[in-house]
Amino acid sequence: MEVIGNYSGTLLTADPSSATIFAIIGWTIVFILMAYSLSRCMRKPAEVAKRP
Amino acid sequence: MASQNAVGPRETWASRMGLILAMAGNAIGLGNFLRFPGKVAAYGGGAFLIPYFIALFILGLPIMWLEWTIGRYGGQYRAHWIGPMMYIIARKRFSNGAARAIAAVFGGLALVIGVMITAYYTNILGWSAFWAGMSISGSIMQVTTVDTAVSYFVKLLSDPLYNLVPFAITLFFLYIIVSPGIVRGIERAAKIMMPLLFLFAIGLVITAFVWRTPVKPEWDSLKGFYWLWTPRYEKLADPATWLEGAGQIFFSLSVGIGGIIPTYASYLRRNEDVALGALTTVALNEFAEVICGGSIAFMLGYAFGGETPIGLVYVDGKSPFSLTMYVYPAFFGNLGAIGVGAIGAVLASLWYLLLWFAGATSAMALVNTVVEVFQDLGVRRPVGALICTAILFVVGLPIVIEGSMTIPYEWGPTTAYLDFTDFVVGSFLLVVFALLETVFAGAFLWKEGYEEVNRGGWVAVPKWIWTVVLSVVAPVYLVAMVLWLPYSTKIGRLITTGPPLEWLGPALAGLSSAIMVVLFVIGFAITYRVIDKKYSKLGV
Repeated sequence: MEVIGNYSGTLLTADPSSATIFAIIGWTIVFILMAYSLSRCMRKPAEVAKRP
Repeated sequence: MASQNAVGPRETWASRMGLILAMAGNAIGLGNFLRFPGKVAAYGGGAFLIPYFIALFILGLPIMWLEWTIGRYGGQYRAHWIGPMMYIIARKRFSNGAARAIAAVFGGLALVIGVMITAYYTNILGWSAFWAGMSISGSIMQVTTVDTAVSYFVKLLSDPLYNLVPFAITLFFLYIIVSPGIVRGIERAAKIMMPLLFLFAIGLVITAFVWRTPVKPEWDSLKGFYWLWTPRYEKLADPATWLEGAGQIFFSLSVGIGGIIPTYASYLRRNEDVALGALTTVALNEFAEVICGGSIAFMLGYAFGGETPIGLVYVDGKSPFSLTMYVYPAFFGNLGAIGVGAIGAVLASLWYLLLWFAGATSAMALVNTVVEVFQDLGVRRPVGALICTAILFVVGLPIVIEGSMTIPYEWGPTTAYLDFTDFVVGSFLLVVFALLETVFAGAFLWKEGYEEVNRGGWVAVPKWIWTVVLSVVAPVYLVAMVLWLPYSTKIGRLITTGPPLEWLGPALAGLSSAIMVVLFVIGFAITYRVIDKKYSKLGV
């Protein structure tokens, strides 16, 4: 844990490694959602209709 | 299954891109950039993502699919707001009288939610417009301390004329956008405003990651990022974290807001996709929220102001909204002191315009829904838009005025009317509304709904999501939220005004309640009338 500041006597701490892991998880879920939905949106309807 | 009486929507979206951008604009609002980071900070940091994403997949996305489906189905009968839509759906299982009563409750709630939220939301947008104007003109460079920013904001709240101008300008813009109709008004505005919104948001995110130490070497923006996303697992044991995660998803996606999503979806043609459209809207909303909203506020806040903004939220319990209105202007203005005043003005302009665009694209969906109510009474659209604007002006006036009532007292300008309305309508009634939707249009009372959601779908919605998640799990979650919200919110504190005006806060809350009751009765009566005149003859 790294102390990033002291506000009115309360120490504000951060853990860069676990924060990065959680941020990566969140961003990855969002990017998967976007990639899946936008890629299908950009296809022509006829192509999509041929899906199994 | 639509009967042969279905005639198709009165007006349709001109392009798929326009529809998606308008729907995304509706979903993406101030909550994505201000409410979300505040909830992450308060409820477990990175750990908050666990209840948040669970709620997204069992509550947000299924209800989003449901609302799109209700809307497209109703649109085939030229029902463009939730009252008549629910009549058409309820008529499948209920008698004419019962279906009309169910629809009238939805209609009444729709008018309350549509008018009351827009009335205070446009005031808040006016405040963003004020700071945007200060930024674009460069005047924000004079705001170099937090005290100065506070005095500007107090002046804004406590001087009705000062407050009225940005509010009226915002209402006028909304009138200009909504009045011409779907294609020439809303779709065109969405195609301009949404790309700009994403451009501004991405620009600010890049700035936050690249320009890391603009003020002091130890104020590294990455530390703000790390602080926000550091998981605080102990918060997962608190039920509030799970309900707040669900609440954030709910408010962020704009589900339950008086049927504004069904209204937009009602302009779809019969076989146009709803499943993929709803999913894409959710994806764009999440991009704006998790990636942009989760980066901008605290990264720039820490880079420009060190631990102060984090402490104000995490220790003092202030909202990021407060920070934006009376702390951040000083940070932007202070950049002049280190010789980069122009950059400060540009960043401030991007930030406040981003907030205004985010809010305005949501507000125009709300206004459009209210205008549809008047159109159903036979009023022409421009006239309906004018009437709606006039009503919003009147209902929003107490917010313009209330701050001035308490100028002489050191406890400052009150926002009791706004805060009370925000809680009752902007939090509680949305959940009630969505709960009613999942009951009356869920798999048990509208069996055809599952077939409808997949009609023309470019992706397939699994049946178990419809029958189990949407129709059983989501209502249970929503009941928990309906019980939790009044319990967790200190309503008394929201409407407290100091001595010698202790009566003022409750009086303002009473005024807000009275307006809600009147709007509900009007919405209820209008729904009854239009069903009698129009929809009961459809033979659904």
